Amino acid sequence: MGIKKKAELLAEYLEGPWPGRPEEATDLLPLLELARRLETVRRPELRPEALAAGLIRVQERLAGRGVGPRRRLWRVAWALASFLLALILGTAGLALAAEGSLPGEVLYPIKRGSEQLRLALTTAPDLRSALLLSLAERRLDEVAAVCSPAVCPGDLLADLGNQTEEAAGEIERLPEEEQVEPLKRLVDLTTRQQEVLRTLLERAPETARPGLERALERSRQGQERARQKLERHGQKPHPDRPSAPPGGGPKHTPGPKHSPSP
Amino acid sequence: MTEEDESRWVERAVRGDAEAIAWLYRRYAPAVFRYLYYRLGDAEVAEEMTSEVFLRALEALPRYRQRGRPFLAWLYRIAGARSRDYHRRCRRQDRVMPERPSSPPSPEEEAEAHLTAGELQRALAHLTPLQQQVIVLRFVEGLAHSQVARIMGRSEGAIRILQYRALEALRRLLAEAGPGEEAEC
Repeated sequence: MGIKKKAELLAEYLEGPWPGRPEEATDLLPLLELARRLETVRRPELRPEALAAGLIRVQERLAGRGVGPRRRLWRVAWALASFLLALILGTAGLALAAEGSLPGEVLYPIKRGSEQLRLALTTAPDLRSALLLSLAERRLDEVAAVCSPAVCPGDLLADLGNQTEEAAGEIERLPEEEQVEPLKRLVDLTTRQQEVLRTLLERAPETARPGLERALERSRQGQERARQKLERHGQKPHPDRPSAPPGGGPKHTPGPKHSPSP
Repeated sequence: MTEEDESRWVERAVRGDAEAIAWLYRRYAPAVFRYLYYRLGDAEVAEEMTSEVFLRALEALPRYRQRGRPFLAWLYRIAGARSRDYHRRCRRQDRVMPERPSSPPSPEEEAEAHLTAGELQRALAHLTPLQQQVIVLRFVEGLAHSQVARIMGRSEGAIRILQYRALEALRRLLAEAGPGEEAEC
């Protein structure tokens, strides 16, 4: 009989009834006898005091090392805080680097995104109108920097008009007594807008004129409304720099006139 | 207790639940102690090492993954590694440890059993670690072949052959052994 067969038979007898003395189990009898003796050996038991002492050691280690959920929570919180800090610092750094970018440059969308974020976070009407005026001044600087008489991005001209109108709308929501200074700033801004746009328009080819003319017209309408409001407040805005029709006003070469830090 | 119950306790322990860790300790420390006692031959050392096994387990618990094997199998693996370290240290120190069963059995028990825990331990010391484990799990812990197979991560057929060889070796050793040999560290 092979060892595998013997092992199977032994296991069968150990888990089943005692075989008596069948022929095939003869040489397994000493092992069965030994197994019976092993089963009667008194089991060594862990003393209750040793069991308790061991448990205390385990609990002390558990308390001392803080392997519990609280420590894990702290680890997660730290990791999250570090990540957020890195994200904030990285974003702030990128936004700072993008501040001087111009339309068409890689960082320009970041600059505009950062502006939109600041606008969304600014809810007080006085601060919001001041911010919108600063943004409109930025757009004017960008027009002066990137536009030539032949080529000026249409969306940049549209943004110039939109942000100026938004600023005007926000000024109207201010209390009457707080409107004067922002209105003066708006008149000044639109005056400079018209100077830049007229200079471009004078040398613009036919294909480039419609966009510039629309922008100029929007600026003039905005300025007119602002002037009327100022007059109602008994104010006379900048008599030395009146609004003028296309081609009729003082000449200004496009270029950054104002570098706001809103 | 079902395997699912054990699995729930283990899951809680992995998450650092102190109550679950204490429950696992109370449930398995006695079995770990007996295993260590037969590997080391010294009750005091086995007691000390039992708590060390659980401290090691506590360190490793956050990385423990249930893969269908009993939690006790994992504890036996840690205990096996600890006892091997212990034997290595002892060999280096070359010192002889006195035999010291956990508590001496009464003369009546001795007479009835014809084989003491100390005699068994001394004979077991000459078996391979796998043979020792199969003898302890089958005849000291009283587990079935299928349970031993799951704990040791082997097939039932392999366990039966291991058991046969272990009993053969043990029978020869007990026949040859003289009384009163001291267990070496």
